[in-house]
Amino acid sequence: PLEFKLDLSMIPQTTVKTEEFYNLVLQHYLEKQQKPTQFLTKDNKGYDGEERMRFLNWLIEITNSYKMNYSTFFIICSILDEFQKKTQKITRDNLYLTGLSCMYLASKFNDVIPLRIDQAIYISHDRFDRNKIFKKELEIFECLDHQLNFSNSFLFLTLLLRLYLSKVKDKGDDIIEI
Amino acid sequence: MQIVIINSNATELYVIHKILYQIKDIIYYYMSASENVRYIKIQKIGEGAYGIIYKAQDVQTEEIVALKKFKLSDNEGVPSCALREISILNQLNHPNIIKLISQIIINKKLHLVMNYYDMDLTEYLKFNHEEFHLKNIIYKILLAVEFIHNRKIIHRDLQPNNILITNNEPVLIDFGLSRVLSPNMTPGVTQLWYRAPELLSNCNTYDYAIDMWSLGCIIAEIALNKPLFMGSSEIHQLLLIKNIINGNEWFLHNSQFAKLNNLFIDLINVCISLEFLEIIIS
Repeated sequence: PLEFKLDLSMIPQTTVKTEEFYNLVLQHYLEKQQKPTQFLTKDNKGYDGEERMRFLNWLIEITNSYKMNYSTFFIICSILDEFQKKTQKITRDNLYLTGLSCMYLASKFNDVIPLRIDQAIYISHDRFDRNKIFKKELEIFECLDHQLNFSNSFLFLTLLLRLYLSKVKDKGDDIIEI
Repeated sequence: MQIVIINSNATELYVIHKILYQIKDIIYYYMSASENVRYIKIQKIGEGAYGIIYKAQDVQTEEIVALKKFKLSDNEGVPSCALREISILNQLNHPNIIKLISQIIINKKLHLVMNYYDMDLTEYLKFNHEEFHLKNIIYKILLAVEFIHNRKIIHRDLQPNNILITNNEPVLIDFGLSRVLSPNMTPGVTQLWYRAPELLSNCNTYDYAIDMWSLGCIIAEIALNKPLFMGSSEIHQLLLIKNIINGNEWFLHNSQFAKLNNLFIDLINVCISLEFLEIIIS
């Protein structure tokens, strides 16, 4: 399973309860989230559900340590799944190159300070050079019809929480009881 | 290509031949260009931090289009403002929002192809217009902005230069700074005169309200025919804004608003609401 933890420093008026609640809903969402099972291969060489999970957990670590927006992780997820759905070209061998390019693309789309290319190369332990990443990036971008703006539940969750917080500003911290 | 030379002697022929030989590369280039290149640049219209805008002609349909060329920073692949602009514009389909016709890559540089209109709101306001035209423009701009906000997108660069007018109908352009709502964003956006107080005070958790502030300034500008706050620096701008803390009184005492209807003043007042500023000062 995915281990995704949030710290909610950017949302004002947080309490321990808010954080608990937020993580609870998020865990629930991640478990229930539909895996694109029909596009994951089952043989040894391919890209299966287990491999995807392992990769996503690695992505969470990276996005945390490079201080990206929380929503960036979800965008990377959607891009990766959409790309696999359209091309079914991801194998175990090119998973890291594809994922890294997805991350680079999503970070440029969504972050205040986007990931630089030398950072991306550093993340890959110098396995890929910049031309390789640029080429893959352009391929993914064209393949998705130039559309990176996926709506994800994280965004709705944030909006919902914001709305709620603005409504109950003076009512205290009973946020569990929505 | 045929060249016919009549009544010429040998030396002249030799000279012409020599010249033709020298410019043959240029001739070949232009003959081949018409087949490969779809758009021919006519002139440069504007330039910004993101890139250059050209007026260009489509060779196949003979239509006039605007080409937006992105300066590719040499080592960062597709620039991030281009990523945002393309994927946001692809999503928006509204008569008062510019249409992205296509995106092409010429000489490894990304170009966006869009419709071309030749007048923006600043120029439009230099002439006198019927009142109902102006009202129609305000209404249509409000509709377009509502359409954007419904899709969780913030424009972040609303100003009269980014609103084009064609047949008395407004068209919103320039989504290079716009982005999807997220909890953490850069404060340094929007042109200074239309910048909201929360941006001026370097807050990075703002939301749609900053667009409404710019809209309020634009609506006032349409009515008064001059910008509402003309600050020379960020501090000066904040001082000018501070004047309207008691909104209604300020509007009453200001002689330039005397000719306006009460309802209209209410509209401006709602757009430039000062909830945020009051929090800062108290």
